Amino acid sequence: MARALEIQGIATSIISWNRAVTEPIMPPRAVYTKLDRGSVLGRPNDPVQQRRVLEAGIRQLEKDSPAESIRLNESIKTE
Amino acid sequence: LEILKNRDQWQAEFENGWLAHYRQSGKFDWKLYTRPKNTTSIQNPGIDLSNSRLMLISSAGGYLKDYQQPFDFKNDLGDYSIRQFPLSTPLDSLAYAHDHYKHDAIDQDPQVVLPLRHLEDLHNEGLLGKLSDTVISFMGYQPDVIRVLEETIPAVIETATTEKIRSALLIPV
Repeated sequence: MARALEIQGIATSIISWNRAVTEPIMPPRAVYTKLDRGSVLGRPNDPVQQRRVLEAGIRQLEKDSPAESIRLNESIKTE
Repeated sequence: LEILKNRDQWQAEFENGWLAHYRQSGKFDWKLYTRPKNTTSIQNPGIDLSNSRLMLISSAGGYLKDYQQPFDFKNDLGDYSIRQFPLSTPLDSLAYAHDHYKHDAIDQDPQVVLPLRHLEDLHNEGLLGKLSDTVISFMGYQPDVIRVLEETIPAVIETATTEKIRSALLIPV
């Protein structure tokens, strides 16, 4: 889907907890975390963590593609 | 530039492998499933966040529970339709028709996958200059990539074009 949008001139960024599945499709811009299916942006009721992950994904949009992917150490474990 | 490299090969492997096994046995064998992959990158310039309309695209299966049909999450072959709802939608107006992930987290706090209020905050704080008020939602269990190419993606592109977006944030669940 990201590639289809990019062909239309629309910049895309993807936030993924599953790098093994996402990386082979070579997304134009990506952020990978150690979070989990169903908790893609962070722990429930942890808006600070969710914002960190979300902003990292948004900031990728400023980069030309293919952009170097970002790997965040964010996980569902509490700090 | 192809969206999916070796589309014909992928389709043949899917129909003769995973799909044929499912039709014969009624069971999934994911060892027979070929995950799509690409070997070339796509080149496009980055955008100015202060001046580029952004749209959220979610595969969490979200829909307006009082107004929209839920996705067909019980269909073993997937659902390839999309729903649209306003970014300003109250979080408690949404339900999620997608049973391929646990709903414990989203039931506690929908912004773990659908950051509607966070995006509004980032817009109000000035990081995001323009936001599309339309969110695209689909149910991410879509094993037939050809149907994604022929049904889901055209619907997404049509909405993106109508909304005149310059960027999209994809949050697969």
